Amino acid sequence: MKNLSQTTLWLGLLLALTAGFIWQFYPLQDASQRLKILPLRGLGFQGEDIPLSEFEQSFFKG
Amino acid sequence: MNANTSKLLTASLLGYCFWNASNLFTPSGIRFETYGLIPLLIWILPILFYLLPQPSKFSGNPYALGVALFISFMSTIVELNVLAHLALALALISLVPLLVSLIPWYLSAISWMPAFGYFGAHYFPNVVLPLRFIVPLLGSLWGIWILYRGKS
Repeated sequence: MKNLSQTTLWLGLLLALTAGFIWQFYPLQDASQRLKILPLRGLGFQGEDIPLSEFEQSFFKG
Repeated sequence: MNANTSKLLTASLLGYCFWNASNLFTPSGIRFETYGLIPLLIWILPILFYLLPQPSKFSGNPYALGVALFISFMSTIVELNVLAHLALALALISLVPLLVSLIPWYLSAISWMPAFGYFGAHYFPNVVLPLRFIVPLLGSLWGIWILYRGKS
């Protein structure tokens, strides 16, 4: 590895660690859409979509 | 900077990519993911085959490592595990020579990623499990064969 490559990668790693540390204090506002990509059925399991009750909705809303 | 610094840098970047992809090593509860570690162990066999006889070559390709670092970092920003898994694959691939003939082995990395389970559960649920073992096995055998030819 050349010196320039190494220096760039060290700096990149340092930047990634620093920015990643700071970023954890700014979580995603809403990632609920991602739940839709979970499969409902597959080999060895069969799921169904059950809506949240009113209590659960208010509970998870925080 | 000397060869030892290069090794330390490679190890640090690999560690960073492993750390971001650490969800691979926790029990997920989803059946297709619980076997993810075994395909990963099968998939890294070409790397072991290449590096164990010559540990002094433990130094990643800087371009591949740079891209892996960027993708791994992006995985923390957008919180997408699949990016962390891709970055880990790329960081591991950087340890061996980058060859067009190794592309089948590179691509077989998908077999140990949880994304393969999600995708398979939708489109081919009955064969996901066998494919999780067959794909990395064939990919690794191919990779070892290509690396062996390169050595001899």
